[in-house]
Amino acid sequence: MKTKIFAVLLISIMIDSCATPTFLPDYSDIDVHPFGSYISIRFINGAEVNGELISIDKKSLIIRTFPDMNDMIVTTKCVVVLLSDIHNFILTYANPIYYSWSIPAYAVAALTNGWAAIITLPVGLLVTTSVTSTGDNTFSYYDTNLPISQIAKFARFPNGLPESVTINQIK
Amino acid sequence: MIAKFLNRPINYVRENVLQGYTTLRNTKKISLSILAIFLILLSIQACQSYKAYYFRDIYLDANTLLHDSRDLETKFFLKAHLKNGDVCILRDTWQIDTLKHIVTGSGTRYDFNRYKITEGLMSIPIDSVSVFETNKKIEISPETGRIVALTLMAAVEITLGIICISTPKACFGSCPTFYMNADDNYQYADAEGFSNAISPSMEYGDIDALHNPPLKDNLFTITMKNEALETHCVREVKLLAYPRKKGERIFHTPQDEFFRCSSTFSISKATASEGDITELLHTIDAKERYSLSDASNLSSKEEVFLNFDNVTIGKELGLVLNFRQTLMTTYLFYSGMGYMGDNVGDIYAMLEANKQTRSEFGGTTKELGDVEVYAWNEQYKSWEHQGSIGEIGPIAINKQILRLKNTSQSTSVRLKLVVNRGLWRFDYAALTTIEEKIKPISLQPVSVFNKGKVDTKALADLRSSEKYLISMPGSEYRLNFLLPEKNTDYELFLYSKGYYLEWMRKQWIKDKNLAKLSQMQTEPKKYLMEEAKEYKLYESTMEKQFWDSKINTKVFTYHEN
Repeated sequence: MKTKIFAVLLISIMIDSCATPTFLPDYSDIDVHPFGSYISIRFINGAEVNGELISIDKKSLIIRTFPDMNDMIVTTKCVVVLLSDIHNFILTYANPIYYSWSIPAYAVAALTNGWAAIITLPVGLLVTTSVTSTGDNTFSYYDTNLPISQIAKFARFPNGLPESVTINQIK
Repeated sequence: MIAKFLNRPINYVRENVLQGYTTLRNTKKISLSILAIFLILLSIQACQSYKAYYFRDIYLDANTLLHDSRDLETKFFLKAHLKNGDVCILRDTWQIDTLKHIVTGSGTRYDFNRYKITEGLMSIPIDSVSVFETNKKIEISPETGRIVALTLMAAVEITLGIICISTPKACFGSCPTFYMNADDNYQYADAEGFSNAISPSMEYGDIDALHNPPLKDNLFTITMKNEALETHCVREVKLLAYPRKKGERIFHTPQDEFFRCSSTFSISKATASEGDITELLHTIDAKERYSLSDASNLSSKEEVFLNFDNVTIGKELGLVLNFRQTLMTTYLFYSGMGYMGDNVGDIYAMLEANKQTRSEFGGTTKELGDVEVYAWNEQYKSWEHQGSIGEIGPIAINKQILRLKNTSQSTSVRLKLVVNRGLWRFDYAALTTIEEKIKPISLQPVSVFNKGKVDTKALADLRSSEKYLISMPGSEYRLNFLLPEKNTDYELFLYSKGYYLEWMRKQWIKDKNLAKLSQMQTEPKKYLMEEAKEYKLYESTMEKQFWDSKINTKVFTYHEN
């Protein structure tokens, strides 16, 4: 049973590490990326919304949602989220670095160690799992380490929605 | 099985037991090694999974961006977010033109939906920009060499930074310093060149007495160092020499006149507000008399009394004074730089362009004044002004002479120095008899060594009055001069001409206060009263911090050297 749980956990980490927004740049290209960062917001009521951070002001932020977002809010491509409704968020500004390949690769390598695999396999799995999961978060901020008041610099419009642009015009 | 076992020779059994024990020990060793490797890997992993915080900066005004980006070795790409929602991403060659108020560069412009509009050279009016954004490159792959170098640099920066942050106005500032012995402690520099020439138009030639010991050889070497965060533009360095006989000295006046002097009369008694200071002024020993500033007014004055007995009657006399300044003027200069804030470039440009502004610039320095010398006139029972003596700079001790107006009428001479409190340090005072005015010979360097190697360019620059030798922080030049005669003793003076540019410190910019800057120039008296308390906070500790923040030319090397 324990082995099955461990296997499920590993597979979910591997799959999860591949599920990232495609519009984000590689870390080396963040300086030429014209869009906002990718934000995943969890509301106080448990609902979630994900998408590009367009702008933020003192009371709310605007997100250009992606098609697979939570149905609760979507009627247009952009949504306004009240800051007071947010429970927590994760903001990702560059594509994570994927190390999920290292889990099976190292596991296979450990099997060639003979009797030493009893030690090297679990150690290898722990290290590669740790590498993979932290690699996923390398370019992410959580609400615990980035105050919401500081996320404007990650928006498409860091100084707020331009006066001449309406929310419906944004694609 | 047991029987078989029992039948085996005892040695065989012992071997097997030992082998088993060794295997067990090896397994334990391997396990521990693997555990250690695991822990190391986890530690490395923990270090690598860093968060690249603060890689992005947002600027609401172009000035701040300009100043922040100026220090960068590699300029970042610039995103100019326009007020209409467009964004221009400029490559690392962008420029801000503060006169035309535009940003120019090569890059790509996107509309508010981020469709590409144009690509190539563009010029963006600063007024149309809502906000500027810069992004530092995130380096994932560690480049060991650079990181080590940066770490070392960072250590130097942090050390300097801590000192300069805690007392930013006490950071070492020096102009070129000259040493007869290159390894001398920097507190005993033999000369300090053109301290007051803080911009090109303020360039001047400065003469310092070297107070050299008797010479035996005709090759004389002096080392010029840049020990501060300044750019020194040195137009000329010359040696002024005049032969001296035993018992003779050559002194120079604040007006740069030279006199051959003979007898010297030591001080009999010196007093100041704290009491008897004779011992401090009697000999040249770097034990200086100084006072602390007035807590309510930086320009308040004090008096120092000097008595000389057994003076020869009927001779022209000169007061020999060895002196330098405390850090008060350094503090005021750095305060002025801080008040300029990010306008420092504009203000320096004004200084260059406008003579009137330039003449008003040293308002506080003028208010603090020089050392005013008075002589007691027994006939009229009053103090008579004899003149003033003084030179800006807290590093090298100046050795100058002030000609007294009247020849000695009695064997006792009483003098009074009126000085600004907390501004001057005196090492030595004496009277001497002036024999004649002389003109020393002027010698150019014959060779220049830069960090131990012959530097012909530096020599050519110093020998040509049209060129400058640019000396950066950490520079050290050894200048060789050839005196005319081998077995002749000379009194030597150093002539240096040029100007220097103080490097703006980040810590100073936050002190920007143009109103205060203006007050320094237009109402220096009022400013010095208001600033007294602030200066008092620094005064007790800045001396040590000033010297500690000096750049060591042995370890700090500017890349052009």
